[in-house]
Amino acid sequence: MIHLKNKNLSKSFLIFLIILGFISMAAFYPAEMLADKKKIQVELFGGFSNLNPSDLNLMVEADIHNQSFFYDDYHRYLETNDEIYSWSSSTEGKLKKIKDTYPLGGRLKFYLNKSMALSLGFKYMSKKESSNYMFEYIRDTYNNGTLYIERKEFSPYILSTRGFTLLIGAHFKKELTGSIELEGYLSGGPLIAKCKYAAYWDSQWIYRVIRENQDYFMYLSDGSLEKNGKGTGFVLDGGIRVNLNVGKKIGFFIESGYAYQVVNNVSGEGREERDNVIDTWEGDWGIIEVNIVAPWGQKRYEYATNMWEQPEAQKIRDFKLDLSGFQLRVGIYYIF
Amino acid sequence: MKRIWVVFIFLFLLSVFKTGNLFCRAENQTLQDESGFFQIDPVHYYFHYHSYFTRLALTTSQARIWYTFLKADQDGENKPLFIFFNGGPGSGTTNGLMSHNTGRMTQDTLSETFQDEFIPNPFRWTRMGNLLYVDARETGFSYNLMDQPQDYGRRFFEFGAQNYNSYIDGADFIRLLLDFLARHPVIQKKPVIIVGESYGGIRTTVMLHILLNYRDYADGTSIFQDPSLVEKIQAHYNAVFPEYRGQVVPPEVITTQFGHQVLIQPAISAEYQHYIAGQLFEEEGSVIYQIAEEEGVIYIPCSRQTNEGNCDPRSNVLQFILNVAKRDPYIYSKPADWMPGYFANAARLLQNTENLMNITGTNVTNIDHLYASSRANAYRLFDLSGENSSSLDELPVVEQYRIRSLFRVKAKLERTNADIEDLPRVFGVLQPWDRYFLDLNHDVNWAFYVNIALHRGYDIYPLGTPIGELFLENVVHVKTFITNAKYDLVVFSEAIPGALALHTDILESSVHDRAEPANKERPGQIILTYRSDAFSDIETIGTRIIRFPWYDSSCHCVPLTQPEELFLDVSSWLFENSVLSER
Repeated sequence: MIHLKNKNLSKSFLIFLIILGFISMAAFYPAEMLADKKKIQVELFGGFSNLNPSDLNLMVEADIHNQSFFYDDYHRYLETNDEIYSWSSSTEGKLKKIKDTYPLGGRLKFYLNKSMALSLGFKYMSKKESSNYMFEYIRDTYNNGTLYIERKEFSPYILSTRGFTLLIGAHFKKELTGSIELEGYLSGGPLIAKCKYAAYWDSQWIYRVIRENQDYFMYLSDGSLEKNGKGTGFVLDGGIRVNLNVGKKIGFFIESGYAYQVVNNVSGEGREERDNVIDTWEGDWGIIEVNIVAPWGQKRYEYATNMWEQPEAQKIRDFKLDLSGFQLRVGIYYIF
Repeated sequence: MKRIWVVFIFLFLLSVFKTGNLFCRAENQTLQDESGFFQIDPVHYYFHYHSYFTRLALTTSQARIWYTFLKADQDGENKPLFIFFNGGPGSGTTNGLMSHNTGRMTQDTLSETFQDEFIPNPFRWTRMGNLLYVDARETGFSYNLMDQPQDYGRRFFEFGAQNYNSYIDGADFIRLLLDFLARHPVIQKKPVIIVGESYGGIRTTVMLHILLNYRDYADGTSIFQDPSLVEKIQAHYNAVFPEYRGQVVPPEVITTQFGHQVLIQPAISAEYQHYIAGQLFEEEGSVIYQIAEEEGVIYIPCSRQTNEGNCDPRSNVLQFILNVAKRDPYIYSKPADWMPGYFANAARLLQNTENLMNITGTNVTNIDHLYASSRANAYRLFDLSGENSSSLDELPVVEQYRIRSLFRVKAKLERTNADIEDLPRVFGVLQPWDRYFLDLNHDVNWAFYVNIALHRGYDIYPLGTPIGELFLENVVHVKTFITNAKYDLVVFSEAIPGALALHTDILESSVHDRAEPANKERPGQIILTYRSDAFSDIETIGTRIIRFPWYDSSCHCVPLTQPEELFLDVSSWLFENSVLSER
């Protein structure tokens, strides 16, 4: 029995074994089954992939939780306890999570026989969700013709990720008609991935005297928070595809499958600026639990960070940059 | 060549000599009276609700904080240090406690009319120890600095949470105190007695809680996080308690230096104090009924008003005292404006150079930062409209009274007394938004109650119950003296025992014992019995006794009305607590 040091390593090792198995199957295919001379095929593809880097998306959820707790819940509490006369809120835009991406790639296929090939390829995907978002809360504390208005604007609010992988794969195909083939594939390889969270915000607190139609700025604050991460992981990409030969050497294909693409060790630098006060740091990404206890309630949620200098940051689990998802790709190939 | 060497050596020796002088100035080995400004550079700190990631990060403005040090009459190097401050928030100390029977000179408080100079004080606390008086940020002589102070909007913005809340206010005083001690190594390890009046009770509470539990203020435990302050405190403790170098110094060790507080008519758990005061006022036959009878007017308690639900008993009484009985709520035996009059007159005296030199014992013309030429970026006010300011309406009723009273008294003084204010002539004419001296800075007071931190719900309301909890935690370790002045309705000190008793999660009981200590001319004490589970990190507290003497003819500012009695009680109490070697 093989005892592996940690879970991440064992998963990578397992994937490696699977890929190795497929390649071996192709490579040791009985020689008598080999048909004409060997062919080389070049393929380029692009497509769509659903994506849910849930740990990275926690950052967006945390910002939504904060608004809900510190503004909506708090104002409800104030109103319920008759500490304010009334309040209202409005928002513009939306803080966007990453939900999909558009992978691009290419591969060089080496046919061992008519129905079997090995490939060497690459795949690149990138997704940047950049949004603008604004919320405004208007508080009428005294019902005396004055209002307190708090406004916060995120512009831009960015969540992004990128991944690049080198793949080796095995392909098995079967001819359905003269020009249409059905193919199964499995490929794997190392993944280099990056992620980024960047929020640039501007906050204002305004005292409005309605009768004078005059606003007084009582608090102005701006700043940004940036966190970058980078790490390496492993990819296992498998699925089926349909090839359509449109000539002797050229064809199109459509392929669909699932790509397991995970990076478990992410680290990188961070930078925060608040009203011209700048703080920078560098660290491994991890997940902490934020537990806010205030007179109007309690809120508990998970948050991804690479900043560990702050007092209460206790990691509850590792951060996982999960770029896995179902992919649908179309491509073109050329046979030499 | 030789000549060059001679010049070089001469310059070298000159620089060493000059540097030596600087060191001497930085670390006085002998004590002498001094006055001037401590500069506090911008401080980065934050409030949070147990989450750094949702913090409200704030940065203070650069401040020049005015202080006066009066050395003890005798043997100052072996005497404790008293640090004094008034309250408000927004009140100056120099025209408050310093000008009223605590320092070497005092305003004449026995004269029927306001005088134009200070007189010697027979009840000076310099007989007990060294005295350090501090004007809080933007009060008294203290001023802040900013870019473009001529811009109203920018000045308005300066009066925000970043500069004005109970925590950063307490932190300012700790910074100044520790810097002062570091510059005076001869008394750096001596006991420090904190003397706070009125809102000064809250400031004392915050200061002591930070000093005793300093690690909580950088490790995420407390709502207020000020890492640079904690570093400064640690550095001080490294110097004072070298045996604990690099360790967290426990409160029982810290209290060998910061173990005594003298609170003059303090706000400590103000919300509860106001509540209990209101109840006592409403009782049939209370002092309010007596005042109504004396004045031949009718006092209608909330319980007899049709809008009882919206009637706050304490505010109702203060409105009655001000608008119907026309008396001074700081001393209800006197007509309106009586006590604010003394404070306003002291402010007038302090704006005369000779008076300022007399009371500080310092040649103030040597203080660079007092001159108009060195305060181009200084500001004191955003609102230059004075008593007509619309922002006054949002202040508590007492603050409104105090400010409006100040303007009335100043107008009266201008009519009845000589114009002795000469600071602009000596130090230069200031910009319209700057002032040499402010008795009560209403913009500061306003900023403590209307700011972004409170708006966002951070539990730092100056009058809130959490301050009372900090006070009760301090009292476990710190010996406490509180005055109980008969005529003060603003801080109705009779309500303090009952107010503390409302902290039922900390105390089993709070009893006002008027008879003990029986051997005292002015007995009175509060006996606090703590719950066994009051604080998770403190075992078996049992009871603590607060000295609570009764001052039967005193106003809010007890040393103004009963200076001798207060002096005797404090010196006797400190002697019994082994802080003073003689009464």
